[in-house]
Amino acid sequence: MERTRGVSRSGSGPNFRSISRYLDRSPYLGPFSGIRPGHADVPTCSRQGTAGTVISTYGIRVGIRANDEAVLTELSERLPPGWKSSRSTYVDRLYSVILGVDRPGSRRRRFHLLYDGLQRLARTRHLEEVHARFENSLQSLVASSARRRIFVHAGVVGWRGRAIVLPGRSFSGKTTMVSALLKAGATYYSDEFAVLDERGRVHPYAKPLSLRGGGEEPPRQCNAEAFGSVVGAKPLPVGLVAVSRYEEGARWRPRRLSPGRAVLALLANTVPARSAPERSLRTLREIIASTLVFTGRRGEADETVDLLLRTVG
Amino acid sequence: MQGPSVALPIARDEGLLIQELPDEVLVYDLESYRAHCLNRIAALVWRHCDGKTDVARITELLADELESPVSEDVVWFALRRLGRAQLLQERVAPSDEIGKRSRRELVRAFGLALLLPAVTSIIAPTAAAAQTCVKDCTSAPDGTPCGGKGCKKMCLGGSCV
Repeated sequence: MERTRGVSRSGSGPNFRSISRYLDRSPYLGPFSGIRPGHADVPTCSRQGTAGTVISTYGIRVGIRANDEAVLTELSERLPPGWKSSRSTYVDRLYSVILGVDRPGSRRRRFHLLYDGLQRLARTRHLEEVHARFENSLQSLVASSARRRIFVHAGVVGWRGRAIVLPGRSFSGKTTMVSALLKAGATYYSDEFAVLDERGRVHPYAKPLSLRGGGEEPPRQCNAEAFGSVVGAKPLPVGLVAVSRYEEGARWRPRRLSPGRAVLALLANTVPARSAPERSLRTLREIIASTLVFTGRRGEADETVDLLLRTVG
Repeated sequence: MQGPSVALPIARDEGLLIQELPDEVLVYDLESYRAHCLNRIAALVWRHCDGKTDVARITELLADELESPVSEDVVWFALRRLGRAQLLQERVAPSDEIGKRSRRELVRAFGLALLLPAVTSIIAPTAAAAQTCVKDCTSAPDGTPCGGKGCKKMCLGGSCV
């Protein structure tokens, strides 16, 4: 990853000392408040009210700057679990948010802008969209580039000291299965990623569950406590991996995958499969060495949960 | 890769990550981003592809290792699978029709599906693809094309990969 020197500092008014002073020397990232003529993609903003911060998440240093300090506070709720503030003056990735403020008497409508480096991620009148795009981008970055973890797209719960891992992409029903398991008494770890260490243990990635309501409705966020569950705190060894896909009317009749095929099934959902294949394979092998991996179609989540939990024991 | 021409198969050894499991071999192709799982028989055949051993000799070695009679058809079947997975330096082809039997024909002839070589393959997802899914997945048998609406991927464990 490219590294950019940045300043972890917030400020306002003309005394703002921003990351941009260092970025002026970067061939990749333009200045925040100084514009290079002809650079249409370079973020622009007013010198006043600019703020920035640097965080560290899974070994990655991320700079976030905005022309409004309140935006940083809002974006902090979209950061990956376990993030920490950093005093580093170098960042691996830099996000810039420019709030569009309509001027009184002007007919010109200003859009909110979000940049990842020089790449524009959003140009919208809806701030919520900026938040969502920021969260998605940062999450993708973390999942693909985390230094000592392998991210597998999966739902995860804890059950009697071991983790149940449910690999699957979007729309595969992971969150539905996770919420059903929480209602049955499991501990919440994630409905998005199984975060694996080199020993094959799963760490929590406990963002609120994202429950789809169907149709055009946006997903609603729901905490584990709403299901009468608690959030896991410590890493767990994997007890069961269930690769399933919902099919109406189906009954969970799993067949066990051989170790090799189990690794492939997990690799198919592993975010850094291409960027870190050796580390990915090594980690997945740790899991399957002492774990049962099943595959099959399943019906309704509540019915499947009982069968799943009986398998784990 | 050149067309079939020689009967002394040679396994690829460059651009591959190989990890051995007790009864299987995992192979990741760094050039094509494909991952393969070879079952025990396919792995044994592949191991003997050294460019000096012909199919007849591979068949004898396989029979010794499995402690069971093995037909040359089985070895040819394995070589076709390995060639398709680009795990051989060059594809090989039998000179007669017997060596071209399909899996179904072999099972019908020998009735032992468990003793057939198997190479299961997936394409490793990109970081973005690992987080997307085709809604109309048909959950086809592992390693076979999905055939779902607009899907050109393969199925594995009920997901498109």
